[in-house]
Amino acid sequence: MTLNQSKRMWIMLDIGIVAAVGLGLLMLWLARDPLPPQPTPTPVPPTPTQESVVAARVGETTITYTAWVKAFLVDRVMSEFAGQPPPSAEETLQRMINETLVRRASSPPPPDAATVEAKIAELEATWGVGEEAVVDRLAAVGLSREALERAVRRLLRVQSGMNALSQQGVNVDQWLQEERQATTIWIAEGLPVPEVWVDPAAQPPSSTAPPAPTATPAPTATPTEEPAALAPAFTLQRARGGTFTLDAQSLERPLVLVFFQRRG
Amino acid sequence: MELQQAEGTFRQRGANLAAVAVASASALESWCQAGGITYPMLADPDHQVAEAYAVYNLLDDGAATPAVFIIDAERRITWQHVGSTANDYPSVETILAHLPSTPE
Repeated sequence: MTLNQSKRMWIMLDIGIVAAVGLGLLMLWLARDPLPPQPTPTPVPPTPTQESVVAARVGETTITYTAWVKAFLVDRVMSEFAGQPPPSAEETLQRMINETLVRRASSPPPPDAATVEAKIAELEATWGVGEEAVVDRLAAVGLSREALERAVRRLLRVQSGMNALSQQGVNVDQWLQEERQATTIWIAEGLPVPEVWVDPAAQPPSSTAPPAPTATPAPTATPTEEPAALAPAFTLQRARGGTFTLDAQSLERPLVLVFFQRRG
Repeated sequence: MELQQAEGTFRQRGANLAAVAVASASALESWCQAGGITYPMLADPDHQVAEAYAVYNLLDDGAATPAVFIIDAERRITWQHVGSTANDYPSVETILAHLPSTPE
């Protein structure tokens, strides 16, 4: 059970089967849906251009449309290199939901850049392809290498989260099922899944008509049951010590939340 | 947009101010000290929060896109501005105009 579980994950991720088989298996494991099947998204031609479109909510956490589509396209590229059948967009979303639950439960630290790079190098070695081929293939679906880095970073993080749970004696399989039952999970319906990612931010502002059909008005992407845009909850470290939490309890007054472009 | 100066005004209007950057807490600390910043400056080094708010890397620079969200006491996003270029921030006046009126 627990030991086997954790062992299986480690074997898949660390013996390089990862690349060929393991990654696909881990993805499938994470994509398994213990709940009754969710309604399959019906393809809708127009593309949502709003960055704020939400694909799913897992409790208080939001999975954006952008994150979902990018993850799906990366999954497809990786599966292709690994010679595995690609996951469906629905499977990718289910996996992201499960990953969110794992991350939420164990808050594993993000791996550093060197670890991510080492894993990518390992994957490329197992796939038998060079860096250039990977970048080219990603570019063909409209993604940069950063999307792969992000996917690998997320995967390593989830892996260490699952490992932490296993070490606590948790049966991850069973835990995941229970967690899904106990969590409010909302999935948007009818969001289109493009073959190639076109960054809305990079599109020319309305002057030239994009090749995508524009005759139909863009969907509001807010099915009736979606709650009003709820600010995602978070806890972050403050620069001058301590933490800052935004959740249902912590907000007594309105908050002006600013995102700075600065990096560090 | 001079946020440090605006903080008092936001406070008078019954609102708090916080800022997020895709950076480590230690990197931000020196920035806060240099700029005399006293409002909460929050470190989002792995950009989880920037992603949750769908403002990460929209300008393909590995950073959060300049953005301002007004969140009411019920945690609803009542107004937002997501920049389309670097330094595309709304003015303090614009933010004030969109603050929910809170009886203090």
